[in-house]
Amino acid sequence: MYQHLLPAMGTFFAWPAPLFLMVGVLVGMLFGILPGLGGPQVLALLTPLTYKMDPTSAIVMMIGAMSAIPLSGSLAAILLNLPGHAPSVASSFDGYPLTRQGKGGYAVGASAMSAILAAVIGSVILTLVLPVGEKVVLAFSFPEFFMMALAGLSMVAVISRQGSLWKGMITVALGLMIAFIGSDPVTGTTRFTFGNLYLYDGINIVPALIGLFAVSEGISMLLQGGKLTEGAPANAHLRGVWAGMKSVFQNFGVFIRSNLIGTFMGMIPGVGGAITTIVAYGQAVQSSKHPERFGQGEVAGVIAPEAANNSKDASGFIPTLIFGIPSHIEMAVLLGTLTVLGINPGPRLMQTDPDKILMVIYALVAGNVITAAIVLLTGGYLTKLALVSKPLLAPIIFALSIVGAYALAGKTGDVVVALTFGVLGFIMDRFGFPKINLVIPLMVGGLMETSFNQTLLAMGWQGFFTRPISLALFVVVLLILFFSFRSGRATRVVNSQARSKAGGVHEDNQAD
Amino acid sequence: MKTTKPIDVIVFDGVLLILFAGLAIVGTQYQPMARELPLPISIIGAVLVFILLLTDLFRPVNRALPFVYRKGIGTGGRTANERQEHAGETVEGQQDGLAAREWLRILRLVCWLAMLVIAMQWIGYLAASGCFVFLVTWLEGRLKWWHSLISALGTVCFFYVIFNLFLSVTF
Repeated sequence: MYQHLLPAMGTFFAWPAPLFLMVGVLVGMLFGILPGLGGPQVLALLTPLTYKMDPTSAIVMMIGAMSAIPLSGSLAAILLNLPGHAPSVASSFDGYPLTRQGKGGYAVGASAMSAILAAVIGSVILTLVLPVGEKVVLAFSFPEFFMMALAGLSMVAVISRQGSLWKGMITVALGLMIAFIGSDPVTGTTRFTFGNLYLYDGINIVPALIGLFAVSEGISMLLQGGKLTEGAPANAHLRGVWAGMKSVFQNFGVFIRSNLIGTFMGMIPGVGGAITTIVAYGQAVQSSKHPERFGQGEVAGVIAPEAANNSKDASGFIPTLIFGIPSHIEMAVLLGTLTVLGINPGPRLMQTDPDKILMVIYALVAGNVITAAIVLLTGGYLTKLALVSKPLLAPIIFALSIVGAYALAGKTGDVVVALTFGVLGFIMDRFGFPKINLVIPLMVGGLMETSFNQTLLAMGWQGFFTRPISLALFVVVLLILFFSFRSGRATRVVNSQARSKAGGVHEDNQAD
Repeated sequence: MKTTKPIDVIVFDGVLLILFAGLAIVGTQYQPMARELPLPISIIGAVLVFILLLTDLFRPVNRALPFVYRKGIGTGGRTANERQEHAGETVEGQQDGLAAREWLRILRLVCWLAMLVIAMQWIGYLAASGCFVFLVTWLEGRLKWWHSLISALGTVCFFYVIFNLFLSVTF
């Protein structure tokens, strides 16, 4: 892959890719600041726009949007105490107290520098790990892929930020059943189509994602009404930005530890940014000589979640690109986009499209740097975007979703899928069924079934249990399920970090 | 009978149960290799939903099976939107369901969206999107008519630039 580093750099800077990177970053920042809208929504809405673009421009636009979300989300969390999406929540624990002390610029500077460094380090790790991962994945055959998918789904089922474990498992089963609609990959038997021709090729993932994330959010916004934030916009002029940036180097130990946490947790399917940032914050509190300062405006409390959140995006590409198993929800949507573009993540990707992988890495770094530059230049002005009224935004999201779904192939069936999944997504949100548990099985269901059937055909049942990697992955699945149901201990550990160390402080802030 | 959860939560459980059970029954008709995964997964799904339904229906079952509502690892802080959405929760994780008024509103929204789809076929996507944004922001969002008009015109211009000029999409 390394021999492609320079040629890919040339392609990355070739017009119009930089323009689309900029467009992606700006759209991503908009969605990052607006509460309720985040990575999945922006990626789902951008996907229909990419299908007539050249793959390079499409990839850099999508990655640009994705990389802009964490930092712009944190901007609203730090300056307005308005975490628009889950991973930004931890940034508000100490970011907002700093803002109240008149040090908003200091916190934003720390956040921006953490984001840039984390993206750079994460991308270097990604570049180093991918070729090694390629060698590992070559040892994989059908049983290993099946067990890998099963392990991923088990993780997704038990690591749920929303709802109960039980509902998480039900949602995984539902996602798999939806993935099974259409022709069976081995026998060609059409299943669960009920005579509907549209369903013969299965559910198209892109309109399903548009519905789950964009339409459902539109419904939610219109029902809630009012403005995205009722609070006053933050002070537009930020002071102490440079000192904040330097503070990352003064707290480099916290930064590196959080970066490692983000890198590790980013690779585990289903973990996502919310848990990663909370764990990184908890680690920063525990390792600090002055834990009592956290929640009062300690800059390490901003650096830790930012470092973890931005590094998890880079490492999240490892399972996504190597195995085709999305690590978190944004990756699931991105996987759908790559499929639309004719790029199939999986073991062969590094041999067939190494330049596309490098494009992802370059765009990730460049996107973070551009976002940080814009955030630091425009400061609190951006937070005024959060004053948009929901009834104004929701119909535009609806129209864009419906037109986008229709534009994919001009099929009314795609629009019906978007609408159905939109309502389903809204109900799932309200009744505590985690959406990620539906999306990841949708993405990996095909891989899982093909691997399962091919194993049975080629090796029989013993194929799953006689190969060492497959057996090891099976043990991992059993361990995941055993520990998740043993006593809910892990839940208490994470929640206690979220609530007792930080959440309490956060709730105090809410009360203020 | 007083149920553990609101009626709409139970109805949703019931729909899921019928769905999984239906898929399991249909799955039995396929040839063995085509049903190897779908059949057991639909049966497992049906069993899981059945137990969930029982816990949502009967308080003694709910108390006897605490693991059904055990939280997933990682349930932590909430975003601004979630704080608003979950303001009506009674016990942690136990939603109150939706009021009848909200269900009607969702139904109305779905009708609006269905009309948008139909209108797209008849009058083209640009005019349909413009009318949709104008009417929904004005009637559902209760914005001033000229605010709605501006947002509708803005949307039409944006769509024209993106889909017609930039993407050359033919609808």
